[in-house]
Amino acid sequence: MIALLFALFTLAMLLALRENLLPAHAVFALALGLGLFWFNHHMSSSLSIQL
Amino acid sequence: MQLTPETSRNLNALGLLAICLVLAMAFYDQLARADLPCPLCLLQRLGFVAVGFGLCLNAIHGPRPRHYALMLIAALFGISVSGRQILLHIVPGTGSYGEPFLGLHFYTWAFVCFFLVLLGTAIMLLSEGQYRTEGRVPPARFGGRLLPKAAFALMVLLAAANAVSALLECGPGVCDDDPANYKLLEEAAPRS
Repeated sequence: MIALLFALFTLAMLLALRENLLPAHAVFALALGLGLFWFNHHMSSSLSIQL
Repeated sequence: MQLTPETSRNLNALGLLAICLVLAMAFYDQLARADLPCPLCLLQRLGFVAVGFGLCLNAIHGPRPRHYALMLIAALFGISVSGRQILLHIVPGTGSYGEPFLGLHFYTWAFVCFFLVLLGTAIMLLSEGQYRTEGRVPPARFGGRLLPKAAFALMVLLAAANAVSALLECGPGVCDDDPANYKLLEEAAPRS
């Protein structure tokens, strides 16, 4: 799944190169949103400190 | 401090090369020292690629405040992930992940790098002169220069290589917390 996120960022860069800026920004936002989802998913281990 | 659009584009291309160097170092550690990245490590790489996207926009189309904003958002994402991983191992006796490099683990280096990205981007935003286009011929993509083109090509290559590497390591599903081998390659290998 993380592979998909890298692929999405690659796609966003290529869209930016072809001057499709709105789709490029949309793909960037989608990939970053999915990145946050996976960050939350992988924050399963509890910390040894109390914040 | 007043930067011209051309100088700013070159500085962004150099920043892009610096991000490429970070990603290349991570690949070197993965391939030469067989140190497979954990899920949080992959998300930190993702943060660097996301920062690279903002730098790519500046390199291709010239500097814009919104491109810097994307870099700041991406660096905040990356510094959150690396900070979380530092906190996991901050108490003595709670272990670490991977081998240290020059005395620090890669997630600590990532935290330092994302901090530098935030600082560098804020400093770049101080210059208004880089956005001035009055009286200038609209520049071609990459400003017609080789350095931004080369940096962009390297960034796209490294982002695509990370996609392939993550697919081989994790397969299409969820990555293991402590990966020991390339999951997709192991599944494809004939069982004896």
